[in-house]
Amino acid sequence: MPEVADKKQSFEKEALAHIDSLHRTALRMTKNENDANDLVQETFLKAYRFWDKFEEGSNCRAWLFKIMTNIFINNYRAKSWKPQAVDLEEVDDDFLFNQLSALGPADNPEQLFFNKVFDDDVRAAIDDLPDDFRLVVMLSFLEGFSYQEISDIVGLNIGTVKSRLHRGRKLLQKSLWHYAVKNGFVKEASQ
Amino acid sequence: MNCEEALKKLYDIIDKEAEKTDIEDVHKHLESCQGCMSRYEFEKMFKIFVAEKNSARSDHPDLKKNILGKIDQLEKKRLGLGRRFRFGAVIFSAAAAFLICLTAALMTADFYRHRTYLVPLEKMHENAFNGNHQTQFASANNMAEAENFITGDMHLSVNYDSSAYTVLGGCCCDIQNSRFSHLKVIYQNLNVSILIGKADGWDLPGFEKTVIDGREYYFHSCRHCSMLYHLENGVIIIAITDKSNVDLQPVIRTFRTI
Repeated sequence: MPEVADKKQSFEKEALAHIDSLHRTALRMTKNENDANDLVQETFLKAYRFWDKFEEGSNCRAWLFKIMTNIFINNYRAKSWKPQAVDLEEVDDDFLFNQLSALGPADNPEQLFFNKVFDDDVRAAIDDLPDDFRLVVMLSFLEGFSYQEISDIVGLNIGTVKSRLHRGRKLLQKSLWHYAVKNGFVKEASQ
Repeated sequence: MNCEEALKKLYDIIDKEAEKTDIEDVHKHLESCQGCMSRYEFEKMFKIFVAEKNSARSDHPDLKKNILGKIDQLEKKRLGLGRRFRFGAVIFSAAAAFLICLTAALMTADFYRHRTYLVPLEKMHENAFNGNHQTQFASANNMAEAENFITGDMHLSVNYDSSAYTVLGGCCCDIQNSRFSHLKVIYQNLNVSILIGKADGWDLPGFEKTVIDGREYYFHSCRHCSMLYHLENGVIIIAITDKSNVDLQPVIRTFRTI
């Protein structure tokens, strides 16, 4: 059937083009290779079923992320409480900034810090965030979605998105500091 | 602008969401405040740093291939089902034509229509209220999904009539490869399921038609159930309950095209 062939072709060209972005986020959300692959597969199959209804030329990537987020929330979100590696009680906005500044008058302690921290530690710090914060931080930092796009994807109003992003940043910074101390890149400044 | 105000707007600026006037004001402050400038540079760098550390291409061999394979399977299934459905319709027309000759024809045809069209819906309705899919209905998230589907995809307004019925919950599901939202509602102490979706290409059972307020409703009642459906712009709204002779119009009429 020619319509089916057209549909498959346009889907492969436009929707499947975003497979890398989706997989990257799926991996951080599920924290598990197999689940990430399943999540991405489910997402694309659902998207394919609705491909006829999708408006050509509109924001395909955001649409796919919205589908994936819904599937994640309904099926993949951890049902049981897991102990966090980092104590995530509230910290000040400028916690990490102050810690690094306190390292001494060396020029650019931030640069040294950023250069030394491993990719794995950054991923681990992201993984330590609670699901709700991790998702919003990923959509903003890694995928570059706007507040409005994130609001559409996760189904929350912009105010909530902003506050989650704000708190997510703080928690991420604190978590990252914890890994840097653990790995000996930095020494805790005496209080 | 003082430090406190500037720092409040920092993230908006870094995220490229700030108003033009705010951007100007903050940058003016940063130019003359080393403390805030350092903080600004740091937060900017932090965002870039996190993105860079995650930018390595993730490895997913065969994922694309598997997805395309599953799509092929889906299309094959769709073709097969379509044929079965048309076959059923052919059988139905032949049976109805023959049975019309007999006086018992109306009762038998109604039974056949009920079996073919309603039994699957009744099963869904039964499962929804018997807790087989309890977890689905218990989740508030699914309710949002159901409502988004109704307003966003089906373009109907959702104006629950809380004086007439109570909404318990909802979710999205599939009927005949078509997506539907399924709402659970209590109406006059009865369990009622409301199913809303597109009925493209469906053979609709020839139930009795009534017109109320200029809208057409198709009604069926038997000892197994009462069912009412309404078509609007290709969208079908079905209300079904497991008691006979129930007037479900007060439930359906609250869903209207936006």
